[in-house]
Amino acid sequence: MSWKKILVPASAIPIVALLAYGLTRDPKAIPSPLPGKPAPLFRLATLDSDTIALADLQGRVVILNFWASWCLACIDEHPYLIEAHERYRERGVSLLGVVYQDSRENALRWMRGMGGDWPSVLDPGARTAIDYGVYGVPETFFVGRDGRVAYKQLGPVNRRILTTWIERLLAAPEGGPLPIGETPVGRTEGHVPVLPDADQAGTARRRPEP
Amino acid sequence: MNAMSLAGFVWVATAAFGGRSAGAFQGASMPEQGAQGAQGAQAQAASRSGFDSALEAQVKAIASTLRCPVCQNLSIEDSPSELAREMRDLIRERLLAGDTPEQVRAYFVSRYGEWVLLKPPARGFNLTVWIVPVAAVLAGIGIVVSVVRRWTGRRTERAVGTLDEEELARVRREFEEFEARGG
Repeated sequence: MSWKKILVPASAIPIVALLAYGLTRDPKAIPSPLPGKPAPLFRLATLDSDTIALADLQGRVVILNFWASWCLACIDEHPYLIEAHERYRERGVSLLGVVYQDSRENALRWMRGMGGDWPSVLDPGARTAIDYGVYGVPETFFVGRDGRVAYKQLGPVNRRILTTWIERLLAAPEGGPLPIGETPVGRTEGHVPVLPDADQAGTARRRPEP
Repeated sequence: MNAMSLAGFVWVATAAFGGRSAGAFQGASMPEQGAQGAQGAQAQAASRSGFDSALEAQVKAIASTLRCPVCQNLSIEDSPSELAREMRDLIRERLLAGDTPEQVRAYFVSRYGEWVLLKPPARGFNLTVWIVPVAAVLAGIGIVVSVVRRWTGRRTERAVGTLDEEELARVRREFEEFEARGG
């Protein structure tokens, strides 16, 4: 009889553990398999009709920032990007924007209004975004000097995140081990996937909260 | 000749004729243009849909196994989002470039992780998804069987005429009260 008394509460333990694991995770956060892997290469046209290839930036720390003019959180993070760009541009760090689901005109206007003189490339058909596993904006990738992805930020970056990862990547010895960070779970506030019924790039609205 | 091969023959014949008439359409004189143009367009549409349908079926098969990252619990095939449309285009491109469906799926997994698979592979932690429902059903059957056994067991134990002392006393008392009331 006593084993039955133990069995019922004991059987609840794995169920509670499973629920505790499942319910505390953010279902909107897709864990990226990219950190530790080589950053997918691309050669794309910039907003100023120039061409940039990621391979040309080998040997520099690259911050790859996916953004759009319709993205509200991109407005929040922009001053920190400007600040980091000013502080680190002479220290071997390149900041490169990738325009996600937006038109050239909207992106140009937004960038002119917001400031910042780093280049942004256009991504027709979202091929590069899909290559990076992007599913909303802003998303920011920190690429080491050896061309490998160290960390992916879902949602806006801030001063702390930018400084931490840039310093870590600058401090990492070339050819040595790369500091790799998992995207923290439950941190997707401000990360905006497009609405499923978004018809045209540039007219996508914010996903309404339920 | 069975129906399938007949249909195939008709399709090939139409496509061949369509190709010729479409060619003729380029240099056609005005009076002929209407009839031949219509025929050519019809045949071209037939050949295009005939060619595409195999590819489209393959795209559809792959897209319906991949989870749309923008909208929860929809496949890329079912999602109307811009990103899903671009992903379907990418699947088509990769198939046309000679990738196998397995390679296309592997590409998406390498970018979005196993998350992107609507049916995660049955290994590691994913096994819980396969095992837990079966285990739960088996446990449920076990509980039902044991409970039913206990119920039926109690009923046979307590057959007619097996009242205990207390119950017997109550029945007697109530019967006496009933008698006393002169019922």
